[in-house]
Amino acid sequence: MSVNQLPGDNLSDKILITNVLNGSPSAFGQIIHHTEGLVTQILFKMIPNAEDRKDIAQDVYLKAFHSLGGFKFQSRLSTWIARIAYNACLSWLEKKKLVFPGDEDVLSERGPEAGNVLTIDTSHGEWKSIFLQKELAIILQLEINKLSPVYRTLITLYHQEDLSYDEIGQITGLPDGTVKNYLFRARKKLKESLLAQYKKEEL
Amino acid sequence: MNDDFFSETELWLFAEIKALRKPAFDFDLASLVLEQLPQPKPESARNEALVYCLVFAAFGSLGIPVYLYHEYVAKMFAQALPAAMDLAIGTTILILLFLGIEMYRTYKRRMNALNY
Repeated sequence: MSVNQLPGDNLSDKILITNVLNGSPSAFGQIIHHTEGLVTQILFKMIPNAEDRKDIAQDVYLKAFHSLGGFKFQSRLSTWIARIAYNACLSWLEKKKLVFPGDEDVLSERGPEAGNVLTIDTSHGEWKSIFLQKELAIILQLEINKLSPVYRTLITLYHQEDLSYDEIGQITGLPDGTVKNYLFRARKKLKESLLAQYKKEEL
Repeated sequence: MNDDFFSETELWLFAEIKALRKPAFDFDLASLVLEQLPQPKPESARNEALVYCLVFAAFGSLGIPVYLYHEYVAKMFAQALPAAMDLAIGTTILILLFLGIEMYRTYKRRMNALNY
């Protein structure tokens, strides 16, 4: 269970939203504290510039505040705010004409289930001996950062935030199948680039 | 996640991704956002009292004459022509309808402005 999936989330969401709508700004502060982790992950994965991240983060929460009355409880509040953040990032990327998924590689005909076991393989013991633990975290972070903004967001939401395909779909507006497919391709690219790095270190 | 689909190396890789340090802002996002939120207006309590006074005055200005001259008022309605009564009621409904539509349109416009 991730930080943004606290038990009784829906009930506390309802109470907090009611308090905000009744004019309590501190309740909105609590909403920010509850959802900030997920929003931060999305912003860091999609927006390279710190100043832009700061502006977008504020815009996201101001927009959430003004639209809170229209929240229909069809998802968790954190998912709804994450969707606002994701859309704000996409608009920013579109404005800056930066890379989108699918620009880099053509859709593979292999389904995600068929391709989940990747063919490139090296035992994890070998990997560990080549990359020291501390180095590995840095290399892994660098290689994740080389992925397209949407791919690295999906990898993070799935593997670090433990969100389901359905929740990722709600945030990104992508169908489950596309989420699975993008995740498969993102993992494949990540593994290939790590392997290339591993071979470089071995030489 | 179905572990059967993944090799040992991949599972290890996923564990490493999970263990990566989570990013954090170097500023207090909550306080930055909260200071930009519209502040509750302090004069709202005074406005509320004013509204109550106006409503009370309206009821009073209508109720007191009706109470004092209730005999004449009753006669006025009893002796008025049915056509005149229909005309008065129809006009009142039309005015109320017009005011209602105008209020709804103003409300919608303001809500749209809020949901920028």
